[in-house]
Amino acid sequence: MSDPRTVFIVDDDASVRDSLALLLGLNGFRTQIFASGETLLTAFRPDWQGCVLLDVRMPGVSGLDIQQELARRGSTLATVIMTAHGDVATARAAMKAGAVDFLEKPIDDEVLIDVLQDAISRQARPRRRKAHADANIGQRLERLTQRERQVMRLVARGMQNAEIAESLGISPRTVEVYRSRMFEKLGVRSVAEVVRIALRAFRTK
Amino acid sequence: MILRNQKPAEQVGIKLAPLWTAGTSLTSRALTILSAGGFLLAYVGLDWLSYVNPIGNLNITPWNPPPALSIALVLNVGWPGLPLTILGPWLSDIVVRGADPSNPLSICTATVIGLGYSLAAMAIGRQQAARDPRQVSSIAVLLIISAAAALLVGATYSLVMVSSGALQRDQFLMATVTQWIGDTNGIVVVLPLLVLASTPGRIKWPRTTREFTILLAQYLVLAVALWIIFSPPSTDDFQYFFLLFLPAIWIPLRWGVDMTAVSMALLEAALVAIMIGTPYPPAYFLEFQMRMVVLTVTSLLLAAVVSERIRSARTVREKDDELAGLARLLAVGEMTSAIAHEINNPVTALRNYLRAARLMANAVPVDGLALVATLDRAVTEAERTSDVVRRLRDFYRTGNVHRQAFDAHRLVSECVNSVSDRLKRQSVSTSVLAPAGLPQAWADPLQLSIVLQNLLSNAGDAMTSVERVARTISVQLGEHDGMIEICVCDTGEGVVPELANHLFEPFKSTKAGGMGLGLAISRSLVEANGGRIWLARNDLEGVCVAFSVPSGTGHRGGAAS
Repeated sequence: MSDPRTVFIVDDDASVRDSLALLLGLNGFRTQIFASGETLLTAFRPDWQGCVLLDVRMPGVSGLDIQQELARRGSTLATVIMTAHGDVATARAAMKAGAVDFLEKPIDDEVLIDVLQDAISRQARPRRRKAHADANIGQRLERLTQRERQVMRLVARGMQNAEIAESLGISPRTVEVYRSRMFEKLGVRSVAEVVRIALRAFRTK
Repeated sequence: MILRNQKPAEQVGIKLAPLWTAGTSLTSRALTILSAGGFLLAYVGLDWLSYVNPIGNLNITPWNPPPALSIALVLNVGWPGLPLTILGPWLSDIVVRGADPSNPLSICTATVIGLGYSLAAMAIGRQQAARDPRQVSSIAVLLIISAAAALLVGATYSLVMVSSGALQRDQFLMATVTQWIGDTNGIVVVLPLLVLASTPGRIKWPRTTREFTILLAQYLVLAVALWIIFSPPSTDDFQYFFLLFLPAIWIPLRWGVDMTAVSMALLEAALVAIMIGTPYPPAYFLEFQMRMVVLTVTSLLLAAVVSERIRSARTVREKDDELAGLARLLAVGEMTSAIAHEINNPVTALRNYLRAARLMANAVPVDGLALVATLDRAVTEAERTSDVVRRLRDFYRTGNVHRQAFDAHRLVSECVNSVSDRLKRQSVSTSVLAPAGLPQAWADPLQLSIVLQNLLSNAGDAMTSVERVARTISVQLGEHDGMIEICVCDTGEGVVPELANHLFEPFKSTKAGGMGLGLAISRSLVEANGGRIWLARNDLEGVCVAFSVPSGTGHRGGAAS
């Protein structure tokens, strides 16, 4: 049995591991660090509680494989993924595989702490929060126009503005406009958040 | 509207100042007068030189180059050159043939000649193709229009002569043909030279000793051919004339238009000299000149084809370079995003340390030692970030190849040393092996160090997932066929055969998150340095990637890049 406020940090970069452990420790989390997915899996006990903070871009076993392996071994840990900036495809895959959230590097520490607290508390009472969040998203999505919704879907697929422009047959400048309106209406600041919302919204349909 | 058209002048590049233009300064006016004087002097001089075997006492000779001067003048300055083209033949008549300056016949024929060839020049100048004579279409335009003008001028001139009684009626045809052939020959031989001289590139002369040797050999063959043709002076037909075709084909094949035009002019001069010095009757000279026209035209057209080929080969090469540059730019773009990716880690760590330090500084009591340690770590991360930036800058600097002679062994050792710390952490040992007396390499050391770094880091990565007793990277240097060969070997598990064939193509990668560009960039860098890169070994015991660069011995004194 571990402290439910434990964060299991998996990152192949020693400095990132070390600095995360230091910062999270100062913020009242317990931390354990692992240099690779393999070492985490070797040490894993099914009674672990808390959250795995996992870098998906590592040599050796991929972040996705680790997620699946943990689930197979009956882990109840929440998983938060760290990805490279703009690595939308991996983020989507991670979310589909059950990750509760993902963060883009370089990581904003305030967001990180929010997300980790959220993940840990969600572990305790996941249903209520999720329902609340979905209703909220549904309201925000309804405010989007047809075009903004289209742009949102393509952004969530990881497409660049130029690609979106081409596939919709409009100019990149126009895409820019739709995109910024869509961001505003959804109240998001990053592509990552758009992906998150899109995954939740379109999963139900 | 006579001054309307200054275009031909712009087209061929003005070498002579436009005559009689208003508002010119004193010096440019002086220059204009000088140019005009030069033209007249050249015209009369050439006429005097080529005034051999005339028909009657008239300016009808089997070789008559002055019209080429007139055409070139009007091509350069446009209609303002017209008065000079009339003045030239008139002065020539007086100086060379002792004509009476007041003789209206002289003035009349001079006008025919001047006007005829000025018209020809304007017609040539209208053709876009005439801008550069180093192409078939422009040579064809020059020749066809000149020949047509020569026929027109010849016929009109002879008609004037016959009607004035200077020539018999039955001499008309002969006079027309002689003048036609003579003028055409003169123009064909001299005009390409003059036009070439007024193009921006001027005439391209041979530059190296080797080129001069070749040219000398060609002229030797020409001389032998001439000797064989003319050595039995009694021969009434030039049965060995065909021998001239050998050098007349060899020269254009080797040089293109420039030296062909020069050589044909020299050949013509030599022929005229021989003709003057030998007792051939004028009819033979005319016949010979007809053959010469054919020979010259053949040579020039062939030369134009060769010039076009040389140019298109160069264009293709330039396009290739351009494409390579574009590919590199693309690679740079990819590299940038890959490096940005690498910056993420140190920046994340830096931020975390600083946040942590802030929390520590706010705590009571402050743990000074821990705070300092945290700040030190933050500094380390900042340095890591700047390292990445430095590498990026190095990569951008690789746009040009700056070759120099350097010690390859030393470069390899430096590169290996620079990564050995990192490799040691991955429990990889390194070794460098080089034979004694290895010659210097002739390449861009910076680019080669990028290639080496890349191969070393690939080799290191190849072994991280392998449980091996010996994780070793060995670098061997050697010399083979004037090339330095550098072979980087690891003890990893090798690459899968499907990938091995495409190893050096972009976007092929086995690494999680690899861009698949390292080896592709390495290949383009090695090839830019005149070497090649290949997979020397690939099995379960490890991979060897080898590349070669020219050694200094083969290139000493050679031009850089």
